Amino acid sequence: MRPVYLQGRGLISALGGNLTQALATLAAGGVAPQRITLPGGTEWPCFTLPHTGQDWRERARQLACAAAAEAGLSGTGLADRRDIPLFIASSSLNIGAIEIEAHHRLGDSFHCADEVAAWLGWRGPVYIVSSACTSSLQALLAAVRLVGSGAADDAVVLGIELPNLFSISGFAAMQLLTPTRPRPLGAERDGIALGQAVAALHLSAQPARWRMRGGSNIVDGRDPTGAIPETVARMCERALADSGLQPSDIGLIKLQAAGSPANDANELEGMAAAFGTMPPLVTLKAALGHTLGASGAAEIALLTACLESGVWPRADYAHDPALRHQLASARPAAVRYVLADILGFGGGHAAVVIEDTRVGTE
Amino acid sequence: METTQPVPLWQVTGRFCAPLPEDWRNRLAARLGQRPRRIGILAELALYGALDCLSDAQEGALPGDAIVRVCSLRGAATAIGEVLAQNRQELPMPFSFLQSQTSQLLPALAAALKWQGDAAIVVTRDATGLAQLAAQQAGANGMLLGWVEELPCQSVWVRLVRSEAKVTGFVAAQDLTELVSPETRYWRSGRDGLEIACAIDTL
Repeated sequence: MRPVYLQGRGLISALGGNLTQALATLAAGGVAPQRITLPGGTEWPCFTLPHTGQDWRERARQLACAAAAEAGLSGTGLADRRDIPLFIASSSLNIGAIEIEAHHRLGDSFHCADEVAAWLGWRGPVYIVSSACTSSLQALLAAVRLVGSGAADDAVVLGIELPNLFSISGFAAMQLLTPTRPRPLGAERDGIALGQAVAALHLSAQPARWRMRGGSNIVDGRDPTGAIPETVARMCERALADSGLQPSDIGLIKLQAAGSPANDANELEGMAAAFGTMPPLVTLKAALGHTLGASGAAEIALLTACLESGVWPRADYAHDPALRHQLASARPAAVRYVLADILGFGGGHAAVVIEDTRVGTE
Repeated sequence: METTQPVPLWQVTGRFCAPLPEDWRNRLAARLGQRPRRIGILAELALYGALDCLSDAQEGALPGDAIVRVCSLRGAATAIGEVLAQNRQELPMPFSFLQSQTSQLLPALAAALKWQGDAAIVVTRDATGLAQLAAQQAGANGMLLGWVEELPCQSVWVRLVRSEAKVTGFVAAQDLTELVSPETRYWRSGRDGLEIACAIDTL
């Protein structure tokens, strides 16, 4: 396997229309989630994309194109190379359009990919990865393998989670949502808040600052909705082995930690088993919400930008002492290796390890 | 000087591509010892084909480092339709929402196959493209690939493991029918796409 690098990234989220805006918003304390009203009248918080007044598809087109452009994939650039694989990672795909367009009949979900490819002028192979919350990290692992093996020189992961009521109502029905705001690892954490985002990651064999070292993906059938500590530990062990690293090499863990009472605890229990002495911890769910299938791509984009800039998400609430671990209050110094995980529906446990090649060896 | 790694060869060890019998749900329940509980029709279809495929491969359980990839163009369409209808009135039923998540077939599969490992829902109209992608990610214990649809009912599966056999006569694979055909015994991943070969072993 040859080295694979993060050549470009783009993110549109509740924090802003690009990564520069996201960092500025984060530095100013972030944003509060908006309130979304469901047909039955209940209201739930959600980290929404900026409204533009356009119809769903036009808005989706602009968001996809903007994220791709920020990742350096616009115009006569890479999109004109026919051999670049595109992985569209999403939980809800175009369900938001189907909700609005009463005449729309459920059909072939790949129509969504056809639309996105047409918006981007994409001519390479296109895949949808729709494995719930771990979709983007699964797509990232597939893209890294394609580029690393030499089967492709570049690949792109586009995480898309667009406005819809389907996901919010489903998570509300399962009683997984907080009524107020998410407090990951917090003493008063009472659920997650969903988020909307479009994120693009351009992977390439051409050297760049961030190298994708490896990762792992484990589906565990014992719990179709939550994380299992021993599987979290195994996910970490496999990701480290795939990366050729030891637990002590990891300088930062980007957690799933979304504010779920049970899942946050299960994740930390698994991490502690894998790492022993825990590295500094961070989560981006209180800033972005849980952007489901887009979360892996969205959080890698924001995390690397945070590590480069020093802007750091704040946790302005009391941590849960029972968890025995807290989120880092500032960027840790000289982090070379980061493990980032996403846990989710379908027994999904996925992690990637990324390396800041500008941080030298001791 | 650039070194060229040998192209991995994959041997088809099991397949399930027969039309589903009318009573496939009863047969699945008999095989599992009970009716699957609230996993949805798509997951039941996946279980039926995957278990038969593994039996055809004469494996009682899937090895831990095998990978599973499932393609479903329409996904859990029935449950999605139900949730959309329920959502117009009030909150959907929790089990309806879970069943509307196509990826929920993965934990059901993992449990039935007595396995945990790398599984994903990857959707493409090009079956050879999915096969090529999976071949890039699979290790020595290979892969289990499925193409599952609710309407019309389809559950097509193929199991492959790495092989050291010397095989000639590869041709480019055209479609799913060719990939899972009983004539097809080997796959290999080429730069221009997936190639298949019949049972022509040479020493």
